[in-house]
Amino acid sequence: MTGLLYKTWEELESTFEHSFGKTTDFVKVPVMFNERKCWILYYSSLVGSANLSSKLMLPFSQHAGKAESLEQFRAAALASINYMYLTDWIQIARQLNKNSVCILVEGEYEALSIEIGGYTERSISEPEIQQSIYGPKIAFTESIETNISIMRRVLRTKSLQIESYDLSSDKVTGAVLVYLDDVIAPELLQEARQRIQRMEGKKVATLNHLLEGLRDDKKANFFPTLMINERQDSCVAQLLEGRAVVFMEGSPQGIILPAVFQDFFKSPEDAYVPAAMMLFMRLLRYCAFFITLLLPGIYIGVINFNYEIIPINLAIVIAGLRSNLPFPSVIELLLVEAAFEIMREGSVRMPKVVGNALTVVGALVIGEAVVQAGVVSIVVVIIVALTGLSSYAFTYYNFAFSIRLLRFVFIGIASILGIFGVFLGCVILFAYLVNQRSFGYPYFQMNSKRSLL
Amino acid sequence: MIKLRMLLAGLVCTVLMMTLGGCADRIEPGNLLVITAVGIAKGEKFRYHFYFEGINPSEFTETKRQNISNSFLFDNEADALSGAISAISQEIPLKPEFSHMQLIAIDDELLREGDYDYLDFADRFDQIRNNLTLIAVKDKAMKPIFSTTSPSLTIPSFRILMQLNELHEKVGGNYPTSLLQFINNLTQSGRNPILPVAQITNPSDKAESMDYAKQLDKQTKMDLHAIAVFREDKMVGELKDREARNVIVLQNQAKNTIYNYSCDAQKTISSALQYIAVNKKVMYRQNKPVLKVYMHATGTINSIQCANYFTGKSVEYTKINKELDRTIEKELTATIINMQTKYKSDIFGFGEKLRISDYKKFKEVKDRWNEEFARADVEVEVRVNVQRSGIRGEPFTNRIKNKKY
Amino acid sequence: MNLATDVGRDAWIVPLICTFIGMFLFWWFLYIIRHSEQKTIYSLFKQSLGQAGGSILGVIYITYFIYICARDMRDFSELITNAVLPSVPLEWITLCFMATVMYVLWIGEQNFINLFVIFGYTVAAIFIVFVVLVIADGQFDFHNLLPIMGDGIGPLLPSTFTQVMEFPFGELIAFTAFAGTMFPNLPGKVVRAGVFSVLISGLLITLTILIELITFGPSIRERALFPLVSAARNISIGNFIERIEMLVIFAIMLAAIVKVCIFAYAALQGVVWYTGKAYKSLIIPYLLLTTVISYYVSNNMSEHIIVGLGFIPVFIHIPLQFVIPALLLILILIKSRWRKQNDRSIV
Repeated sequence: MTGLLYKTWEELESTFEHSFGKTTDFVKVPVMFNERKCWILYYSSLVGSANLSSKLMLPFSQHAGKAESLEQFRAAALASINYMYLTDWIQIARQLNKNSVCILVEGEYEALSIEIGGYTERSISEPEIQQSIYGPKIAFTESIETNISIMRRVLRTKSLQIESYDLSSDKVTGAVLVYLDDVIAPELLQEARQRIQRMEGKKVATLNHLLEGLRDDKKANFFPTLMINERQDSCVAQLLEGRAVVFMEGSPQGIILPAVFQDFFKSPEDAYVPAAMMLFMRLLRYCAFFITLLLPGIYIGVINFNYEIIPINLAIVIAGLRSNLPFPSVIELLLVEAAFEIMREGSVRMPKVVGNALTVVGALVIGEAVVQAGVVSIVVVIIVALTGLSSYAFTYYNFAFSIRLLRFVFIGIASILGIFGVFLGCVILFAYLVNQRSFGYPYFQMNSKRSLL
Repeated sequence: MIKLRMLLAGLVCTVLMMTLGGCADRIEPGNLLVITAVGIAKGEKFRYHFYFEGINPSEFTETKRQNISNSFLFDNEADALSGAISAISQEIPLKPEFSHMQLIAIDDELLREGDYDYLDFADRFDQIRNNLTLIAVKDKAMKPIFSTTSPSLTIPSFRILMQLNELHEKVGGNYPTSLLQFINNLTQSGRNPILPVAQITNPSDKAESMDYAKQLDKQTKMDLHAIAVFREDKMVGELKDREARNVIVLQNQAKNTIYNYSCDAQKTISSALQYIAVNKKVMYRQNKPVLKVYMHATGTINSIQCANYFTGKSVEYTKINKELDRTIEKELTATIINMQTKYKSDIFGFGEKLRISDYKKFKEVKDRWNEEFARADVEVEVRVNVQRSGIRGEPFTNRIKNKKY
Repeated sequence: MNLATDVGRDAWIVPLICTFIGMFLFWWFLYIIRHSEQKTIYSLFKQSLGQAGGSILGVIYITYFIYICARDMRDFSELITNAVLPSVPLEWITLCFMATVMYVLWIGEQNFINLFVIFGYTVAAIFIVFVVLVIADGQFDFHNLLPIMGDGIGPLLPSTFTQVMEFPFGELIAFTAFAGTMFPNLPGKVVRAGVFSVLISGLLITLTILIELITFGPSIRERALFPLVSAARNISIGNFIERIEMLVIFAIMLAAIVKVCIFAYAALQGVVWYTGKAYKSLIIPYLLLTTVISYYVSNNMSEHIIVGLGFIPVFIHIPLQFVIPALLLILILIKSRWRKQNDRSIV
């Protein structure tokens, strides 16, 4: 390094301007520290005024006059606060960006940075995406400290280890790797560390960037190989099973790694119901998976290619309902699917108050009107509704998303090759799943025992 | 870049090939005419006269009902079925779909000649269910069979099947023989096939309209109480009512049936039998075949017409058991002997039993089994166990004369 | 494919006998590989016959594996054209099937074996459902099986030794091409598991034929081209569960994929061994070749079946499945004895 923070005390002011620019929330306060000149630096946007006055200003006014050196003052007055001595403007800038206050004293060439924090945060709220009837009503927030605290409140053990990493190009966005060191497999831990370290210095602004960096396969990835979780209880359960959780500053979800196919069918609620019920619900979710994925495809395959396998009474009814309709079955199905997807997307983007109304009204109006007008048959509406409902049965939203997409692929194959095409598609899909890896773990394997390949 | 271009080229090729190669079997259910039954009779100009019963599917939906007839009947003469299909396209522009065919009705004239050339289509065609039911039709009444409606079941073929099944389940009066069983019996030695026979009493043109289904007093009726008897491959005659029932019982196909015996002049006691198990055996005694039949059943007393016959005591159950045993033994023996003398045809499957018990002998007599059957002795043993008598013990007729209170 | 039709109601005994022969065969094939301390059958040829002779035999075996692969593909495509998509051209069905097989092979042996485990569970589940439905349907008669071996064991022997022993069981020779590379030194556990799975699959074939017989009787079964599919087609429970043949076809498809993949993998291992090219680069050309062969392998269904069950077992299977391995075994034993004697003489 260049060595000293400053050559003469007077040049400091221009150094500030040089290092931090003219940003308005940068605060530099000249004060006196035991007859010496002193600068206190912080970002007003990152340090709360209440915290500042109680943690720093009050002790400062009492002790600063008596202290011989900065270290003496810190040891006497700021004993309980996280601190760091810095000798480098880049580090100072980074530390300031991490809610700290820097104190520079004339004659001392190390800057003391102390963590104050205290900016307004969202308080802990109930989980919104992954709702559960039983279980704690605690969801993670955007702050890493809060999240870790939420975790440690349940796992009060020394084996709960937390490793911090600075990501992003200016190395400020923080991420932590949480694991239980007596449960986790060492290879997994090594791999996780490597992948997070690989992210350092890259552009990491959102959770999605982090996900992309952590994933095994950088290319097309239909199925999520990492779980995104906002619930305390399921994160704890995953930690106890030997997985690791990654939190990132600014995103209220944890990334659980590794995650294999079967994990996406487990719900945090499973821990609160009897075993038989849990088995039933899990079975239901697997059924929902296959319905969402295959039902429209099988419908097209059966209706358009293998009409003979429908039982006769149903066959007559379907033939009756399908007669005198303007579109072929495939187009009809795609139209209704598209309408449904648009409704779903619309209801997500709508303001909360209107959202529910839109879905209900849309479903009622479009479903009823379209059938009444004789544009599509009721059977297709039933199929699409069942498919759509099934796709909500999953606890993990990103998993449902991939199935929703693949469904259209299956409709396409079925419209060309019928049920045979659906069968081949299934084989290819499972071959793809078997080929996937999540942190080296096979993504889809029948054995209950996991093997690291 | 080259990789991307190759990928794109591959994609275009695949899509082209898929759209060109696939889709060959696409059908739209809206354009299908679901054929539910086919009738075959002897033709005049060509070999056969085919009748097709097609469903009018719109009548089975809430919204598209036009209140016209629920099924259509097409007929045409042709040498083979494929030629006859053109009759359908002349009348209605839909694609006939044979996959849901449930019934094949064959005129008994064809069966008496032993002509089965038209059946290979149903056996071979991959979409047709092999378990469709075969019936024989008497009196050249193919058209009335497929056009006589009934109140609740407006499709004639559905109605025939329903009626057959009811008859089989409730009283064991007939048995819906499937194509598979029929072909099996035709092509394997040891049992001659039987078929249900349908007959229309009082056929009239009036009965063929939909409005007739609404009338209360119906003259035209469908009679399914007979079975056609085959010897080798030709139909030789038919058995009616009780005899038909006895054949079904002897084939061990009956689930429930009712047997009566007379306790007095004109008065009967009837008992409903269930859990009927029939075991047959064939053995050779001094080079003469002996047909043995063991039957076991559980009974319930249905009605007692004789007064002072039954008081609800256990001893009387035994008496009824014995009487029933004797009656049934007599009836079954008579049926078998009738078959031996009149038709010389083993429709009960005694030959199969011989195959199982004495394979060597069976191979020896396989080709002349029907003659062997005709000269065989018959031994029938029946054990009926009447276990209950409904929700009353003594019949009230006992107390009319002999008032206790 | 319809096995052992000519023995009528005793058809199920034939695969039962052959299962035990097959268990022995499998053990024998693996024994040759293990005893010779070679990884594949190709290196074994080189070891025992030298460079030139070994290469010729190796190429014969590679051709043989590709040929069986093509036949199986044709079997399955014929099933699809006959039962599912009657007017789609056969080439197109085979090509689609081929594309799937290519992808399955492309994901690598460790993965496709994991995939086959899943297939195994699926097939087992479908089979259980099928058996339950057959029983629930009630359209079966155990008397169709009686009398068991009425004509004695004599009529069973020709189809045992010239058909069933070769057609599913002798084809296990494909495992000699890669078992050694997958499991170095072939520990006893692997051999035991292999022999046990041969037993299970043999029993499965037996059970399948039993079901076909009790639902159809020998006469219809003999004429049926795909008796299992027909048996599934006949199921009708309460007019609602009807025609579950699609499930059975799915199970057959999974089995066909496994079989085709194993033969293709066996052949490709040989090509890799001789040419040293990368495995993944060989998949597309060799499997396209197989597709073409499968199309030209026979003119019609009848020729396909007669050649497959009559000609091939006697003139191709027996020499390649039994004669050459037996000779190899003798050669190995003689060599090892000779080596032992040599060692002793040196000592």
